[in-house]
Amino acid sequence: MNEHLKSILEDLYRLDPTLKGEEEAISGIVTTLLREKPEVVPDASFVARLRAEIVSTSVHPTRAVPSPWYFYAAPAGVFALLLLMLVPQFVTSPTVPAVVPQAPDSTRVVPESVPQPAYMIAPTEEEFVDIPMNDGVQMKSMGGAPETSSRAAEDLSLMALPVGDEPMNSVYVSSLQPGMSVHVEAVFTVAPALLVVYSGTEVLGVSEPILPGILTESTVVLSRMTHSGEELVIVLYEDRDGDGIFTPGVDHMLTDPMGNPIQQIVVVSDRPF
Amino acid sequence: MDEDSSYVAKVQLGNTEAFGVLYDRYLDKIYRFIYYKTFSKEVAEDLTSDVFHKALTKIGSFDSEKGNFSAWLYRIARNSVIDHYRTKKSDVSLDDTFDVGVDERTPEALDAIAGLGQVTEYLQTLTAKQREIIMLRVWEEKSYREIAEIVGGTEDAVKMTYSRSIRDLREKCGNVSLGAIFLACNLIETLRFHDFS
Repeated sequence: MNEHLKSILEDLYRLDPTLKGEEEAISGIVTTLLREKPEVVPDASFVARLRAEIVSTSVHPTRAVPSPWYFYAAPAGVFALLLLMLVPQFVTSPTVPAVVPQAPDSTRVVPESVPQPAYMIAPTEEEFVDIPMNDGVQMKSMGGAPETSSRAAEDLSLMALPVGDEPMNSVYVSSLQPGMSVHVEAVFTVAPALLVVYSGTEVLGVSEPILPGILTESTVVLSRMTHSGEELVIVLYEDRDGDGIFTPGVDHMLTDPMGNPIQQIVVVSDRPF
Repeated sequence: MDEDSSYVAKVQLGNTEAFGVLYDRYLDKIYRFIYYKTFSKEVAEDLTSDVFHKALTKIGSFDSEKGNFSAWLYRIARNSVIDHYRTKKSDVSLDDTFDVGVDERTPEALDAIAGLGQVTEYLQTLTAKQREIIMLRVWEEKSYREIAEIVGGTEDAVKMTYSRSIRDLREKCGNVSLGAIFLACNLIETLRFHDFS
């Protein structure tokens, strides 16, 4: 028995000791799995071409890189402030034009909390809610403005992501009854977007264009009536070509900083709330 | 800080050559991961290209202290496959799911096409998530922790799903080719977007 097979089997028996009683069969299953692993190698020219493309793409630094000009402007700003303090007649004397030296931009007070772009914000461990995954329920993600994410954390169908200083792309639907529309109670996007409602692979409806930067709501009119028990997925897509029309392949799903699509899955229910 | 993290930091400072190192490290793995889900070399190439372009675009938002780069990249790959299936038409024919010529079809693919009817009864045995966890554990030798980061959920849930899946295979599939089962399940998902939980 090779070492790799042996380690897989030992690992399985640790997880479920009862499997040890069927060692021969389990060993057969795992051996078959290992044997049937497709040996697939990407085409060498594809690998080289993609690498050249990737490496030649320019990347703008996303970390703070000190700019040299701060070192020259800061002393000048300090000098200007001292001038204001030590030469009061320039400020108060009526015989002298009240010209207040304009401080360079670098001396303006920097806010204590500098807003970061939404995409820079990463979740902290304590804010990350681990939702148990059930078969048939797709992973969801949501970045939300403070007023929606606190409600979202109570809803077991949502994975609440942390909110940084700025709201992130987010979609929130609390409940859904059978009907010809889906009311999205809160949606926020940092780019022009569209909400697309799916039932399986069927597109049931597309929203009006969602303007970026505004927490809003939206009602998506559907092409047919939904029924109780039906699972709908409401996905936020970036309207890449800006035409206000959902174009698969061109318009891409918006994602959170961890790469999860911004979407919500809701089961239609006719139970009263 | 692991090795990936140091290269990620360099990329975040604008060094794309450092991304080339990460590319070299993960290209084969990501390609294989996508291929296991699509069994199409052409689709695997397209989606692999998408994954690395997206990763480069979004790397500024990745925080090495909060997550593992490998798991992050696999999640992008997973989401790309989901997106691909979502935009794929549901009435595609069985032959159209293989965007490659007959000569390029793997023996597993040919077996699966021929034996699709035979394995239909086993389709309920494994969910997409079960197959994914088995593939990541047995074929890709990923840790439970990393699998949990990729597919979502807790490490304990992944372990439980994994051991139960092996037991289910033992009880229900007998001697049927597991590769054929996996491939058949993936084909059904391509056609009907059956289950992507």
